Amino acid sequence: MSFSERTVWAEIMASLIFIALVVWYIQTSYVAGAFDGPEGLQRWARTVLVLIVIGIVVAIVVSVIMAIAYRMITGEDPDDLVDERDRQIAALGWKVSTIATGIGIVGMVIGLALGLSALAAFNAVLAACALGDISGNAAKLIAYRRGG
Amino acid sequence: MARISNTIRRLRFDAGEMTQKELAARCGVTRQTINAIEAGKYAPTLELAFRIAHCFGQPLEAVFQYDPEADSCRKEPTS
Repeated sequence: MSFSERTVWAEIMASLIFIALVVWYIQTSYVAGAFDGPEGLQRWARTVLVLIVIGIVVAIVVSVIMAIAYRMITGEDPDDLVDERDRQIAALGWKVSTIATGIGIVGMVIGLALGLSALAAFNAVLAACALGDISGNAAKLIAYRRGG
Repeated sequence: MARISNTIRRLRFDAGEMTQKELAARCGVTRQTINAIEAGKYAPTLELAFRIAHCFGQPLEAVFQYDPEADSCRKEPTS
């Protein structure tokens, strides 16, 4: 497994952890009424910003753990070379991610037109970004397994 | 889609049983990329193809072969 493919696995793991955290925290806060009232959206936005920072930290920690585990299991130093095939697969991942995120955002707009609340719409944007992230990484993994 | 085959595996063997890792290091790519090229799962860029041929001291055509019969987009030349 190349370093780039290992990074994709790390990103997927970090994304799943982060999404689970976000869903749990926002759902819990919503039920507790944290986003009610005229300043509800502002509180939601601050919550999401904090969660984004946590998500970045989670991604870094998972990546470091993967590198250590790789060295322990294989006995080799991780090869951080990124070659043309890695760049081609990364471009494919970006394309799939952008399309999936776009579909999610269009879905959110349709939901708004049908009466979705503003808070639900912003949560739908978060879901669209998560969908795009996972879709892009899944596309990259499939490309790596097929040989690129 | 065009079908491009290669003789990299045989050339590696003839070059003193060069490993994929050694060839990858000489060409500046990962071992996985060389493996994908040998298996016909990945078509290298022109530059990489030339680099691989240069590693073996062979012309490009000796390393990579184009099969026109497998090219579904091929059109018959009009006279």
